[in-house]
Amino acid sequence: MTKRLLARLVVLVLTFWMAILGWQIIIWATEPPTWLLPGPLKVAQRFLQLWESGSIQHHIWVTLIEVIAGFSGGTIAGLLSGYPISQIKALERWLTPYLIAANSIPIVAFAPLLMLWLGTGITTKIVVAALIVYFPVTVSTAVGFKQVSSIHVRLMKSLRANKWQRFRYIELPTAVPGIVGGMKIASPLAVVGAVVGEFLGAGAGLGHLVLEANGLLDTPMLFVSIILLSAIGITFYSAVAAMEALIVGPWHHERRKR
Amino acid sequence: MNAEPLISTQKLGKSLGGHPVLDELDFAIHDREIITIVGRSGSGKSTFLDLIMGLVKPSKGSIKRRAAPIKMSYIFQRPALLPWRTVERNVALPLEIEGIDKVTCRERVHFALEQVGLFYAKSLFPFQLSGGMAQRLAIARALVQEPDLLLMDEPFSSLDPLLRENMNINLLRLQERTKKTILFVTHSIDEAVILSDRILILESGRFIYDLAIDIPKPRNEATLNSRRFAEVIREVRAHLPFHPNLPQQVASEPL
Repeated sequence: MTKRLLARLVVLVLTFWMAILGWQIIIWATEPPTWLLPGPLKVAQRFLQLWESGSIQHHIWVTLIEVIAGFSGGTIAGLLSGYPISQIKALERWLTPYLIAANSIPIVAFAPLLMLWLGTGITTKIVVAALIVYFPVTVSTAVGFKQVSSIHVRLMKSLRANKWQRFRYIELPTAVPGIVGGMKIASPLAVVGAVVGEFLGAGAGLGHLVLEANGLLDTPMLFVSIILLSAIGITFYSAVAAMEALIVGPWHHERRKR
Repeated sequence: MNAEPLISTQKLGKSLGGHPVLDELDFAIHDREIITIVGRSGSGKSTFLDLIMGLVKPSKGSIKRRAAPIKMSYIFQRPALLPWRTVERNVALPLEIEGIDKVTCRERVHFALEQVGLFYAKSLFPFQLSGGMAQRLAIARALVQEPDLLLMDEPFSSLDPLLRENMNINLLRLQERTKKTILFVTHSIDEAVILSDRILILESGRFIYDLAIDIPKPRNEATLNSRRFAEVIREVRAHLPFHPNLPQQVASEPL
């Protein structure tokens, strides 16, 4: 197990460095101007400058808070609405078309309205991130709870289990793999939500930094922001995946096969 | 041994969707008895077990229990294991639902696992078990409840014939040790004959034949090759009506 993990890590690190090397080779070969395409060395230098000045930490921190708060809020709301949708047929029939309609509106189109209502503060960014997370978590929760098999329902009936015991021993564990799957899909989306929010008007955050770098034609800083954003996305996704491995990993047949 | 039956039914009937599934059933099971109900698919066998267990209410007639409460546990066609729980914790489930304390729970779970020979596998997950092991685990989960009556609804029907024979012999040994009363449902005549003290043939919702099995006990692998075993099988088969066209079936549970 540890050996396989180590091998995967080695492959991951090797691929990363090969991509960086490829990038640098293109720079050496074509020598483009820095404002068009900076090399990895330039980007690294810019990152160090920003780090030493102390400004980048603040931007990372702001975006992280938006992502974590938005993801948590969206997940909690998704869990709370997904469960009743799975249990009450009428609710599912009434709500599903509206949920699909709401999810079809691009968040970018919806965000200015939120800014109008909630202002340009951090709340708007958190709400945008939460909204984008809400849909996949709601759907996966509703679908997850519907996976309960009839034989398990019969078993619980024969054991005279009450409603709470049925939820605790059967429904929730059955739904968990689906819910965590939805959370995995939603985790990088939370970063997208936070950046969309910041694009509309913000004083800090990595999305704000992207706009600033663009305005100043500071392409190395643009690259720094993009790389940091994707790093946050990867970290977040990995955290949810690790949680999944911890909860579902030991028993889930399909996952064990891999 | 108590002369009064553990459970009896009087003119019991059940209709599903206006269609009578069971009708006028008089039945009684005594302590330590193994009674098998044999019938084709759709003859109402599982519905009868559901009625005895109290999972569904009768449409007609009554069920009399000797002393309330009689503890019953149900073993289904499929083992119905919880894939997220280890073998040990699957067996513990009924006790957790009952609210039994942890120490007693552990003792009873280990005892039940030893009874079915699965103690060594207590830390495994269901996906690591073979079909036979999974069904033995379901039996352990039923035994741990210390039931007065075990209801078994075609528990070995999904196993291959050799394993099924093996499970039957093991069940007989288990019954000799634990002295449990068992109400078994099957559509296999061989299985019914090797296991039972009595066989009831259920056809179109009625018991059409009641046969006491006189094959001496304890029964074992050798019994399967005995002349008497073959004779009884022939006798049971002679009383199972042959249908050139299958009777209309009413499913009592979703497949």
